[in-house]
Amino acid sequence: MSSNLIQWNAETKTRLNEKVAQNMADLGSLTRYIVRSSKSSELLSQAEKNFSYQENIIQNSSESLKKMMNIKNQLEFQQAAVVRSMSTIDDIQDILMTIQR
Amino acid sequence: MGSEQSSQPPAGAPGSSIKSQRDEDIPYTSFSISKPIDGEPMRHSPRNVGGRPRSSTKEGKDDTPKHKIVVVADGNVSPKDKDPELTKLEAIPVFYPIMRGSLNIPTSSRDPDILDKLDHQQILLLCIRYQEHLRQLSEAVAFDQNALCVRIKEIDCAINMLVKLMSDRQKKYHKYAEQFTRASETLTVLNRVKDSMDNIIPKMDRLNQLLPESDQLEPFSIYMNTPQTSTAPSK
Repeated sequence: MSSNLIQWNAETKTRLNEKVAQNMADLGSLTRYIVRSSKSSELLSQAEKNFSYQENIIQNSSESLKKMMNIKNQLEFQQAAVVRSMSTIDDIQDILMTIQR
Repeated sequence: MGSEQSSQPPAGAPGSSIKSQRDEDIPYTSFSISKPIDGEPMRHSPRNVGGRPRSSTKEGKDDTPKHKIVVVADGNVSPKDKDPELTKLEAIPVFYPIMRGSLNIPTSSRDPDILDKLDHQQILLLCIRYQEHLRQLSEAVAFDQNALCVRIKEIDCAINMLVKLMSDRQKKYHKYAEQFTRASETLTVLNRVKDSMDNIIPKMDRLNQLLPESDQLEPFSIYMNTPQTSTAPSK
């Protein structure tokens, strides 16, 4: 009789296992259906693709910003040169006046 | 009581392993105790026939000592080794399912809001609502990201325009700065010329004065109104 019990236990266990597995599979398929039919993943993947395109654009922007910084430095040099030559022109004009008396 | 002819003879009969204290003292015969109802002929039943199989389902007392406590039924015997899965199941804390009405049915002691059945229509509406929720969330996220993409493109456009402007201005100023430096160079050259002229003019005047008066030149001036006729002084 104990062997009978052991057999019964195995049978009920396997049946319970199957039932539980079936339930879980059904729940899984239900959630998968809900997620898929809401098209959330497609929308999100499209948004991600667009965002990844922006990566290139952002790279270009940063490089042009660096170029702008270089240009600003060169402009500063040129401005300093112009100021220097302005002062030399002033001095030279004074000397001219003294020479011409 | 006496109708069973199973392997377990009634108490007091010679084959049983259960004997009470009285059996030893009172000379009952098996026939008087266990009268078969169906009129079976008398069993030859001396007390100490040991041919019958002794039942082993119930624990008994020892045979030899007389005054012992008889165990009629088992106490709490520990069951066989429990199933490991059963022990795991019992280790889980007790919780109620969603439809509490599906457990057991004491009809009086139940709240009115314990469920028996689930309305499939409502469940469908719940799932649809959840689906809608997911869709709106993803739409909001996608919308925000697209807005960010547009802003990024605008900013990139603005940056490129600025860079172009600045490079144009830089080229223009480069040309101006070049012109300035050239102008300042010519001015320094002119300055040197003037200095050397300053050196020369007094010497020229002295030389002029050394000449005879008929050959003297006019006093030297920078501004040439009339073409000067210069005669080299002969030495």
